[in-house]
This record gives sequence, C-alpha cells and structure tokens, in this order.
Amino acid sequence: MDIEGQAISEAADKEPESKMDRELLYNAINKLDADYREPLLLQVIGGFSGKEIAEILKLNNNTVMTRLFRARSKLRQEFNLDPELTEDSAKHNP
Amino acid sequence: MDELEFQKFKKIVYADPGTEDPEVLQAARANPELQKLVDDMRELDTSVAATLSGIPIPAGLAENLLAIPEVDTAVAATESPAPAPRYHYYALAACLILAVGITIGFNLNRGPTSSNLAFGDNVLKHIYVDVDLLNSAMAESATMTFPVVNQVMANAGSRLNDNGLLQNTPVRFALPCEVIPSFQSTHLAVQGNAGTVNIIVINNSPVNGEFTIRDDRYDGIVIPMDQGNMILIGERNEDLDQYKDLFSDSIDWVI
Repeated sequence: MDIEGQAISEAADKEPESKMDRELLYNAINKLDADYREPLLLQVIGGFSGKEIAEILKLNNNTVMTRLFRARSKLRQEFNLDPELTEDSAKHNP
Repeated sequence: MDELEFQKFKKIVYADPGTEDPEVLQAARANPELQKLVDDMRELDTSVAATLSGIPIPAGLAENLLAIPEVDTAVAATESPAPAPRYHYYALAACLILAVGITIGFNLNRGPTSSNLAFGDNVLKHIYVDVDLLNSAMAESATMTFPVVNQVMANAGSRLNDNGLLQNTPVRFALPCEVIPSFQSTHLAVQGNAGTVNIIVINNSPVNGEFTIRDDRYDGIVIPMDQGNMILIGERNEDLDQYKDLFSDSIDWVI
C-alpha cells in the first residue's frame, strides 16, 4: 500500500455498505486494545510492513503478526464472522 | 488442506491480507473458500481504512514514529543509491499523521452517531425519572457540602475540587445513578438562571466527541473528559456554556 499514492483515497472512496456498518466498525476498532489497534492502524493506513511495525513499536516481528491476526479476528468477531479466539490460539504467540 | 494447514493459512492472511507469500496465494487460487477468505480480509481492510476517519492516533504513537531518526541524506547518498528504510519511516509517519489528522477533522464535522444519540436519549430519560427528587431537593434552600458531594461522587471515581469556582454555585442535589447499565455515575444539580442545571458525571467514555442533545424541554451537552464524560442538562433557555467551564475546571478524576 502506498501511503502517498492512491491506495488510501481508493479505500476512502469505498465506503462500507451503510452508515450503520461504518458506525459498527468504528466502534469495533475503538474497542480494540491499543496493543491491537496500533499495528492495525500502521499497517492499514500507514502501509508499513510487519518488520517496520515491529521496529516502530519496539516489538518482535512475531508479536506484531500475532497482534495483527488478533486485531482482525476481533473485528470479525464483532460481526459474528469468526468464532471466539480459543485459549490455545491465544497462547500460541506472545 | 488439513486443519493445521488451514490455521496456518488463516494466521498469515489475517496478519497481512496483502501477503505475497507464494504458498498462500497458490493455496487460495486452488481453493475458492480460501480465496474468499483472502478477499474478505482485503475487503475488511478497505472498510477499516474508510472508517478510520474517527480513530485518534494512540497516545505516544506519533512520538514513537517521529522519534525514529532520519538518516543523514549526504551519508545515505554516498553509501547507497536507494533511500534507507528509516528515511521512509519518517516520510510515511508524517503522511500517516497528516492523513489521520485530516480525517479526524472530517469526523468532527459529522453529526452525532446513532450510538451518541441513543446515549443522549438515555440521559434525558434519566432526568425525567429523577425529576420529582430533583424538584423537592431544589425546593429546599439547603446546599450540600463538598465532603458530602465528594462521598457521592466517589461512586463514579471523581470528586469536586474545592477551588472556589463553585462558591456562588453550590450543589443542591447529589445522588449516585446509573445512566448506562454497569457504569456508575453521579447526578448533581445546581440552581441555574432558568431552572435546575443537571450535571451527570460518568466514569467511562461511551461517546466519541462532544455533542448537544435536546428535547422539547431540555438542552444538553455531552462533554468527553479525561477519564469519562460530563453531561450538562438545563432548561432550553439556560446558558450551559458557563457551567461547562465551571465544572470542567472543578471535576477531578480519582481513579
């Protein structure tokens, strides 16, 4: 994704299907812990790679990828698109 | 693909829907369900990007980004024809902050969300429920002392600062309440110019920005504060701004 290019404007042009969807997603993103929201914001808006996010947030790459995984899992759970994260999956990585 | 392989696939796609991992892309091409998962996650990212207009930069994140030193361009030029990655970080960080800043500005111009409106409705309903108690308290001339008010406000993790600002606006009513289930609040009331002015303090942040509420009788302002919200409700012709300043400067959060 190119932060200076058209990717963001394309994304901004493609609104969620309804205002309610957008509000639900907005609330779901707001409900994410900062630990999950920060890497998601850096990846989706900033276009940073996992390695770059790891450097910015002073984390290791595996932790960043796990947090990104969980961030999207939690968003999908909010829309009942994913089953609850299991304890096992939560233990899989830091 | 067995369950273990699927979980591995899912983990990679959820962590980075734009992955260019050839194994992942090959697996997706070979299996429509996997391809749908990839497409769904990319669509989610598109929606997130469109929705992030209201998400503030997390505290400290901008500082972390900008703290990454920019490389000396003269040195970079002699060492490598391509800009160093850290140089990119700096430029991207600036763009990120600019993009989020612009979109936050856009968001501030939007009207209240449906959840904010629902929250405002709950507040007004609460005022009507308490109106008899309020009327009898306001009919008496007694005022409440700071220690008593603060004993009630401790319920909502807050206190009134005895800084002299409220010397001419004594609290006449203070009761614990529950505007939002499970979140403790305090309902205070003072005498305004046009009638009773209600001040409700809630120790959580269910709204995403200041907004006004109104019905046939009342005007109100919902004001997010550091660790919660303050809601002012008064009669339609009450000047609530003066109470906003007064109580914003007088309420401390203690938890």
